[in-house]
Amino acid sequence: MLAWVTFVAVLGALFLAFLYAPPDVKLGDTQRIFYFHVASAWTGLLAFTVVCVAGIAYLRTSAPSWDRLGLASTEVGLLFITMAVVTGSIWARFAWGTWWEWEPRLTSAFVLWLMYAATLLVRNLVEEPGRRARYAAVFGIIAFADVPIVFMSVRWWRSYHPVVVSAAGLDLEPPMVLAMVVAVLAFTLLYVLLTVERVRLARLEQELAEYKRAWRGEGGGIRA
Amino acid sequence: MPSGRARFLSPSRSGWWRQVTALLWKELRAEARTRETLTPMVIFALAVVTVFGFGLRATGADLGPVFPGLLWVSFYFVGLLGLGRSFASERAQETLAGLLLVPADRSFIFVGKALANLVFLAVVEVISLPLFFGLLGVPFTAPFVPFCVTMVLGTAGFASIGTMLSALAAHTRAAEMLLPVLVFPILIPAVIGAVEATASLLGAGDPLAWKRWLGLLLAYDALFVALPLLLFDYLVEP
Amino acid sequence: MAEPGRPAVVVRDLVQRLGGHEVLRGVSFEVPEGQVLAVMGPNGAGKTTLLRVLGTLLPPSGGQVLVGGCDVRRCGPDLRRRIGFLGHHTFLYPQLTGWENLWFWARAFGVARAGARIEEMLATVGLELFAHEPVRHYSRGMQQRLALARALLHDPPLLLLDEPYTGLDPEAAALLDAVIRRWGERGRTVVMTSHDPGRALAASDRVLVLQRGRVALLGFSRDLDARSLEEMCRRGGRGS
Repeated sequence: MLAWVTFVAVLGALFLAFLYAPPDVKLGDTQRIFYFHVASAWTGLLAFTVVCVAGIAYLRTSAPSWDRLGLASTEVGLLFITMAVVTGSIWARFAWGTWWEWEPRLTSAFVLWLMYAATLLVRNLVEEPGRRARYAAVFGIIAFADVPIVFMSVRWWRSYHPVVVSAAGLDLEPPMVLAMVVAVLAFTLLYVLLTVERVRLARLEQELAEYKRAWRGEGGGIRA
Repeated sequence: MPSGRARFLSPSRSGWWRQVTALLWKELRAEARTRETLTPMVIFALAVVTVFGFGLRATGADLGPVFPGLLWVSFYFVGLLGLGRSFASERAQETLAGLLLVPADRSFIFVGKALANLVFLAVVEVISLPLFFGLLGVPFTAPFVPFCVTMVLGTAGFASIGTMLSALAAHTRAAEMLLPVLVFPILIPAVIGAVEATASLLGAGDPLAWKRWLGLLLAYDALFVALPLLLFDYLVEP
Repeated sequence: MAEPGRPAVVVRDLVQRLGGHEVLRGVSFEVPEGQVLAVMGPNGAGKTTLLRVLGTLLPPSGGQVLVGGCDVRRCGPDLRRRIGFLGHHTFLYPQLTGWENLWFWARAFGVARAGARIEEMLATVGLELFAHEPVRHYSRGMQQRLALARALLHDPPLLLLDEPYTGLDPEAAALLDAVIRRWGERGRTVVMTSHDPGRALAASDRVLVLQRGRVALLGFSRDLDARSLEEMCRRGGRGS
């Protein structure tokens, strides 16, 4: 059911973004990537919020379901934030003439990408499952708390180091606003769909591990 | 059950402080005897200055715009070296489990070690700052007290979050490689604040801007001392 | 610590999970004040885990554990002041001297008149001459002795010893025997794990045998003999 709704939403977003919305006054058709840039950036941020909340919930309850949610949201979120950074770079190329700009939003997106990568590394490098969940939760909380500060500090820094080619302002006409909103909605639904599936997969993985352990029997037991 | 906040409520409040000073004393004593942290850090700092001296193909006034960044990035890399061993050595001797036996809120481990790391970082900075300025030919034109405050604030947040994350990294495979990856994204606001404040004090750009940047550093430090205090228990829980 | 007549340690239906595996499955027993309990069993039975739970080093996965009448989950820091723990690891800092190690622990546990107490403990374990040598120069036996001194430093009413005779030479072992006996005489409680049935029976008042995380036997030492005990500890072993 969710999959169908998501499918329709994404189709709708594609239609609106590419066919319905008018080309931008200054940038022409190259501006269209902006819809997906905003949508994926928003989703990437949403996913990290979920990682943090799941982390807090896990630390308080020690329930594995929260950890699974954190894991799923980390992986799916990384996907979206990667898209955000890449589309942001493409956008920068056409809007400002360079492939990269150290401006607050792009930079924050990139830093968020780094934090996602770090969180995944933590998960991959901790052996013991209980510890892994706790560490990922702790790091997720710390990293998330930092995101607004990163954004603010880059913005301040930017105000002291203005660059000649400043961020091009966008005048959004109503049809463009509609396209943007639908794109954000579609991506959010896509995020939810992917995360739900990933959580289910994680649960199956854990159950499989349990069965394997039980099947192997108590032979390879833990030393007291 | 574990909570840094409980420390304020429990009757052993002053007892917590005693454990912190005991741990700090132990760290400094052990370091004084072996110098296994400070020595590599100082040598690394010297090596960095040397490499920059050759690698930058510029000295003195030409370095003006990049010097503050150079300074702080060097200190943070050198610092990571020292932070890494902070919990690694405990792990090697399994003494961390022993610390869990101590009758105090477990955040004392974090505070004791963070303070010890701060002392080590301060020592390295005091030794290397004259070298950075001297060997790279950059004149020291900053007002002394604000400069010192900047150094303290820029280092304190780093010591705090670095100690916290080194406790995390210590229990992973490839701990030494993971630590920079964890620390640097989180550290970015501190880098910006410290570098900009230093630049402002050294005359590059708005001479009054440093106050604002120190404000940022202060806020950053406050958050990243408070957060580890609340979360540290979850890291050392067996 | 516990009121007179109240047991020093109460364990009810303790379940302990480690890494998804159940190491202890419903262990129940009590240890009255002033008694010495020896916990035995084959490898993997859960002895060390049990001791760690008692020492508040591991939060119980299920069941209830009361030490000195207080739940280990709730009483944390204050409880640790009353527990002395000697585990597989010495918890000693190799770069520091024996004296410095004890000084750190004395400060951490709030021991009054630390200097005098340290001297006393060093004398008890026979390490006065080596007090100012770095611990990394100590032999294994000397380190065990110092670790024992560390565990006793704050005069804890409950002593938890995990295979304390490992690595001890006969003289040190006799010393440990004396310490345990004296501890019991003063109304303090001792729980120790051991692989040596003869020694365990000689030193303890009661014996608890664990097999695969469950209580297989709980009885008075005077009623048991070393041979059958050894059988039990070998039988039902999980191996490692």
